[in-house]
Amino acid sequence: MELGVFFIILGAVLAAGLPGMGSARGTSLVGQAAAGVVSEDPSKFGKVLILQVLPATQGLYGLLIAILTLSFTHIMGGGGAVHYTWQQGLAFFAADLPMAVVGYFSAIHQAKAAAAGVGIVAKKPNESGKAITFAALVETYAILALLVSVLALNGLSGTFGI
Amino acid sequence: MAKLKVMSVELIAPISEKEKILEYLQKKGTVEITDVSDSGENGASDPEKRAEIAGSVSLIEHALDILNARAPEKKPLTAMLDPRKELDDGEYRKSAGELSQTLEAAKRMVDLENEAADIDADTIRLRTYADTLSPWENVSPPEVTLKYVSVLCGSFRKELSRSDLLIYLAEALPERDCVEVETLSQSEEHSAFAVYCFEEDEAEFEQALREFGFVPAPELENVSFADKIKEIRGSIAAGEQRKAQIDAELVSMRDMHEKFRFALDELSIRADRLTANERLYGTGRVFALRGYCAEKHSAKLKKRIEGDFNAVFEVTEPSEDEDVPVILSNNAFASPLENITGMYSMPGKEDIDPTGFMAFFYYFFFGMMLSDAGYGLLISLATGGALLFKKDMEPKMKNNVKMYLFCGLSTVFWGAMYGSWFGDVGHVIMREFFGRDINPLPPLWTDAVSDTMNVLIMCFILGLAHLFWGVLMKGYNDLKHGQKLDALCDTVPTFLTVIGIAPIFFGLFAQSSVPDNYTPLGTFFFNVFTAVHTNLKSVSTYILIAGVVLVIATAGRHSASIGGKIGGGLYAVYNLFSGYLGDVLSYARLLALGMATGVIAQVMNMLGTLPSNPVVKVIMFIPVFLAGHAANLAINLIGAYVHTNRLQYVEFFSKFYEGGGRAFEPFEAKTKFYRFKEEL
Repeated sequence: MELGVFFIILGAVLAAGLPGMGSARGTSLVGQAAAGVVSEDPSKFGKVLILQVLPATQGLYGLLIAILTLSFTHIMGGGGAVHYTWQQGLAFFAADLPMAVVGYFSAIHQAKAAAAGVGIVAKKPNESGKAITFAALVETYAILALLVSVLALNGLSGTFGI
Repeated sequence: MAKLKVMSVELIAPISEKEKILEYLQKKGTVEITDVSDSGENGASDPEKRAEIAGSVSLIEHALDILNARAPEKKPLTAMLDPRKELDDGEYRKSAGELSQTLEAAKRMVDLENEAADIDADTIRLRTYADTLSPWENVSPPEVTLKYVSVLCGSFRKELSRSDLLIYLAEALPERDCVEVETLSQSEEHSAFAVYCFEEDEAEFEQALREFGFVPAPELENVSFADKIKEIRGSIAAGEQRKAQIDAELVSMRDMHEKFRFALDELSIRADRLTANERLYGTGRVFALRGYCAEKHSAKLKKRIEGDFNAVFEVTEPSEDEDVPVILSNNAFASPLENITGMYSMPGKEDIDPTGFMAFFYYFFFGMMLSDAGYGLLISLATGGALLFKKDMEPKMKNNVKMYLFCGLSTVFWGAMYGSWFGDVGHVIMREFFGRDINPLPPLWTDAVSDTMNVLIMCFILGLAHLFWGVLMKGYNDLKHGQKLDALCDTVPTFLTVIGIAPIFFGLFAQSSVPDNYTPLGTFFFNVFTAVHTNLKSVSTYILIAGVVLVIATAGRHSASIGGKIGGGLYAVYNLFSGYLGDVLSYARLLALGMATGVIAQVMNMLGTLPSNPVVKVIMFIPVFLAGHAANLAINLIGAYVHTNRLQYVEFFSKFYEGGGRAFEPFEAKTKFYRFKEEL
């Protein structure tokens, strides 16, 4: 097997893996704060659940990039042998990096904002919209990274005529 | 589509009318009571009564818990859509009159449950005691009257033969050979013995026996073991009998659910009335109530109160510096979103109610982010069905359901545009099960995954439209306050600048011609949203220059000095560019979330069709399809909701909305289970 395919798969694995790890840490962090609130007042479950799910999206974006990488390069669903030079493989690897790196860190940092937001829900349940907004602001950067990765993958598949 | 006009109200009446008037106002639920108690003597605070109510509430909650544990109610899945039960005045009075009986029943129930728990504990204790006595049941321990001889009576909790015990004793105390062992009783669980030895050796034997697991026989006074065991069994039986009685009595109370729930509501009504009482201003003979009421209710309320009670009710315009609460009132399309506005902040004094203005974009963006027609159809059918078949839903629930209906319809629209129906399930089924590689549900516009650039640019342009709509709101708000110049200066320079720079920005990455594979609708969309820059490009530079000049000229107009005016203008230009760049990029989430839904849905379909054997494929596909899409729908539903809110709060509201208002909190019957029938 050429090194190219290895790099492509490495990129896809990192794109799904790192943000996935970040989201797992993030949701766990918010979940712990949320459990404290729910132990006092179970009726706040719905509100804190939204906060907990917020840092979960990075994992999804990572999955998205991994799938796009594998399907653009026909490693997935191509039904035949694929050949890439190591330079091509590295290019796809680089395209996956924004999502992999930003996804990991933004999930954890978003979780911190969301966990603080759980405090808002505990004390002033009517202001939960603000808590959600604080945490959603952090996600913008994961979305931008996702976008860069998608655009780069799109461009690459055009460049290589795949 | 606005804030309701709220009037200041004042009521003065003799103390004797107080309870009746408060009850009436609470039932109506249209007046907010301001706390004016500290402006005079009051004395209405009644901590004892409050504590009594709190005690009754916890008693009934406890009783309800007991009842739910013993006789749980079966509720259908749609129960959450059911309204609270309606009571007319007569039914209410009757139930309220029964409150003390209900409280007694609750007390009785709690007492019975406590008694049952005591009996359970006693039974366990008695059973353990009976167990320790059981080796001795048919045995009378030997009475020893011989001089110098002691007898040790006891048992082992195992089967042990006499010879085994003798061997053990011989090994443990080889030099004390003068010992005799008599078997008293023997079974699989225990063996009882009497060990005879010299008095002087007794301590040593007892020590050795204990080490071997010997338990001395219990000592009873004046009763034989057999009688004692009989007595214990009698107690246990009596306990069981009593428990059966308790169970029967509790079962006979199993229909108390309704009464307990009514009592909880009634107690909360009474507690609220106490709070209202504490907010009044009173002297020994009269009391005064101050508050707010929507204008549309005020005239009728005045008539009713002055007609039915010995009271004066004044309705006046609130003064400028009063903290007037806000009531939102919108049409059926926008009113479901009042909640969303409220979650941000109620409109302040200078604000318009933004709910109606954000409604279209809210539903539109929500659909774009969920963007799967299959999911949209599910949501629309569920919510539409609920609206059709559950006409008596509570207004709050109805509004939520309506919001999701509109969001669902918009999702169907965008799913069809992107050609996503449960991902690519049509294509997958045709290919995998019928062997034909065609897509029965092609996108009406384009596939977001392969045509990312064009969809992205459309997201940016929709974002611009949203932002401009916000700027227009700012102008509209200025006009409403009579500031015509501000209305012009806050809008036109911004529009010109952004319209001038947009084609340059989009030109960096837009395609210049319509892709070949576009449907007619797609071509239309392309022409409207992504290709427009080619016509604008030639003039855009001039528009940009005009816009920038106008911003510099007008943005610093509130500054006193010339330097301040120019500095303010330049700063505004910087803010405009950086702010709009960030704002517009933020709308990329419309694409990103939409794509996430679609691609993950496709992965679910792919996972379901992995096996090559057609039969296995069908068996595998159905559960994977159901579980996978359910999970994808759930997580993306939350995502779409959160990010639609964010686009409204951060991008749209920041253009014109201040917030900081206070929501109207009427003095009303805050009940959980019952409501009063609307009087006609």
